[in-house]
Amino acid sequence: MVRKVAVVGTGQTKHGNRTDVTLEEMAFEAVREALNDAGLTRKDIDAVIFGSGPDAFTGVNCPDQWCVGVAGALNRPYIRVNTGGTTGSAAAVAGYYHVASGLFDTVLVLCLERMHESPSTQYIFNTIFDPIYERHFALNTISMWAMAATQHMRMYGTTQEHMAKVSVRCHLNALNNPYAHVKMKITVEDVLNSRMLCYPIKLLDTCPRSDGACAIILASEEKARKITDTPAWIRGIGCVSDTYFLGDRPELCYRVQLALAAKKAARMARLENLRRQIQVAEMNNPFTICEMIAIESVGFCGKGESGKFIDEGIPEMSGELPINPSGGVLCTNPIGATSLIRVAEAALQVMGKAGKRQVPNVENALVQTSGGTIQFGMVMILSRSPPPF
Amino acid sequence: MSNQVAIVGIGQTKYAESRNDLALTELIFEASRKALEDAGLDRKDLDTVVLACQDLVDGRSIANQTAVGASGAYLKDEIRVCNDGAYAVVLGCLQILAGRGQRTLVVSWSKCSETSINMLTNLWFDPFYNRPIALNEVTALALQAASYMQRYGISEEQAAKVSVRSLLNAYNNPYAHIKARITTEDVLKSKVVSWPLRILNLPPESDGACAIVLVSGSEARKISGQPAWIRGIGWNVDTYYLGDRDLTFIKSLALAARQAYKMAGIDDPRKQIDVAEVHTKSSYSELMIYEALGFCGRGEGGKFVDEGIPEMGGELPVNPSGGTLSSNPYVASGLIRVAESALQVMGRNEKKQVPDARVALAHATFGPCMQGNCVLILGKEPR
Repeated sequence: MVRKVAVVGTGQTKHGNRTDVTLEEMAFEAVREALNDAGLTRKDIDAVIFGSGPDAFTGVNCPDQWCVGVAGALNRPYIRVNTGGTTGSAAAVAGYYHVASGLFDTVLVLCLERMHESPSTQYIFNTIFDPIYERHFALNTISMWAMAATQHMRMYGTTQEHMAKVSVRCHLNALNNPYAHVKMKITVEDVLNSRMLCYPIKLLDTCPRSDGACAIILASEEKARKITDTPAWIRGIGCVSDTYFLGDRPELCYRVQLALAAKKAARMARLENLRRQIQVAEMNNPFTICEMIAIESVGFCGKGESGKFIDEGIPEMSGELPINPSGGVLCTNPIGATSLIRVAEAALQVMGKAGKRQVPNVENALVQTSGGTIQFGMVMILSRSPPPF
Repeated sequence: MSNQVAIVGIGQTKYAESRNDLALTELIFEASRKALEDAGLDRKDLDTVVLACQDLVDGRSIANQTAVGASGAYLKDEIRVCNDGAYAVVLGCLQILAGRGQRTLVVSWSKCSETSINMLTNLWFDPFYNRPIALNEVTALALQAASYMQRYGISEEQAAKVSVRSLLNAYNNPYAHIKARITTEDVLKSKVVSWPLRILNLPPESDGACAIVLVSGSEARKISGQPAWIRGIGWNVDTYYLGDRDLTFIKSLALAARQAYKMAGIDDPRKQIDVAEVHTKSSYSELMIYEALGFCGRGEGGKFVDEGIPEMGGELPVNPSGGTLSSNPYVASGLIRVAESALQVMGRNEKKQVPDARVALAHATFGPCMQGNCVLILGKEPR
């Protein structure tokens, strides 16, 4: 018997340069806040799922082992997931399996990253590419997304102004988010005038290097109803992996794997029209172009139409479908935690607990995450009503 | 049958000191294809893929990326765990029980020849207190073995017997890396790596990959005449700092076993389990594993070996495959234990078959001094 699962508590650290705390202390901040949010103690947790990105970021081989105590995992079932940028959502999905399978009632998912422990994020990101064929081309996540951006510009006439608008909105939204790393009022001109990193990606098109942790608590239907009046039900899940080599994909600026993931999630959630039935989305945008391509790939608009979608103000806070009220990955990016932050933020929206960044009347919220060489696509749908399955 | 999971296909590569005849993806492909062929399935039949690998062992960040094609996960639901490969089986079971799919491929691999495990396991330890004192997996295991010896009067001879049996059993395993006829004297004369651990007390570092096909109960009946039913799963973890633990008893293994035994309905493991494949980190660790699994009392691991119980003809044969002392493709080692146990209850283990094996135990461990442990109980019949 497959069980229904809900998010019943969330916790985040203040994200940013967290040299004031150790890895353990940082993890503990998120865990304690999630437990307090759900009104639970460590004893109520049946199992723990840990997520963090490439070990080279933290400089510790298997940081999950170090965090056993602070995660509340001592003498409990404990497993670690790492799928790069999608780690957080993959860990949430693993947590979902723990509860839906009927083996556990209440589980905690903890994800974290300490980006400041490594001298260069992009040097490490070069090692996600094949050591024989691709690593030597100075590929990293900036140059990889720059190729996708130039392809999008060439195929659909997308401009740097379109991308800049994503940055302006997200940095403004972040001012409403007490956890966000970078928040500021900027203009399109500021973005266009910012330092070029790899054409057409400029400094203000780019996420910061953040330290941070996020924890969520998942519970079975019976437990969820006891813990909270406003659980955020996990209603749809879609996870799809694409080819490893960038050159094997038909297009870089349209994500087949993400489109498939969105379809799977919508089917599971029994939603026919995501554009109409989703009230808010938290999407992966370490670079402004990522959000544009994701908007098209999940089907919020047609191929090549994300520029128009943005020009029409649809993803603004006051718009028809607000995207990244939290400021998104663009303003806060502890890589292993970043996708769990999306899940937590979407859950807060559904629970009506998002404070100043709350979108009114959210019934369904969509989470979209990305990992690897634009290789992994995940979509999760959280709902105020329990899933129909 | 909706709440059952079974193994219906197994694929292993030949394990060796170096498999530089194959690229990593080719190695992964070989195991994956063999497992699918063994199950009589095609890539198209798979709903999900669960991978287990370690970034630093592979020298690649987000190391599962490279395996998506080779494991048949292209445009499929693929997830990766960062523990031993046996944990991927656990997650695969949870997926199926959660209604996520009917057919899952689990794959794990390592090419130890391309890295230094001792260097990487030094990075396990926190940078402030433990890393600077040259702790790594072997030196930590040596501390554990020494405290275990001292507490229970375990002798070097008793531990040596584990190595002698394992390397002899390996002759029956066509995939094994090291097979040798050695005596306890050979072990005792072998070079000390970190006292009391000698080279013959320790596993080799191997290259290789292993894959298994997991399916739901209803699928298992259709696909296989004799699947290996998963009757119990348990996994657990202990504290990180070695000084906070009683190193002479592997508590997290006892707790993992308790969870798996409860699910499988096992209350007398020594009697009810016919064969075990355990993840031996050193021949001393194996004695401690018997105790934590409840095969014998605390401190009785040495006696258990002296009585010949884990021998091939013994009451409870342990590691008929030769175990990790014979073949050790690091991250895949626990998954191989699951595969070998499955072959036992399927009755397909040829020369290394334990007669009439109805219930088998597979164990995997992970982390400093066996911090994390995972136990699976497989059976000829469903639970």
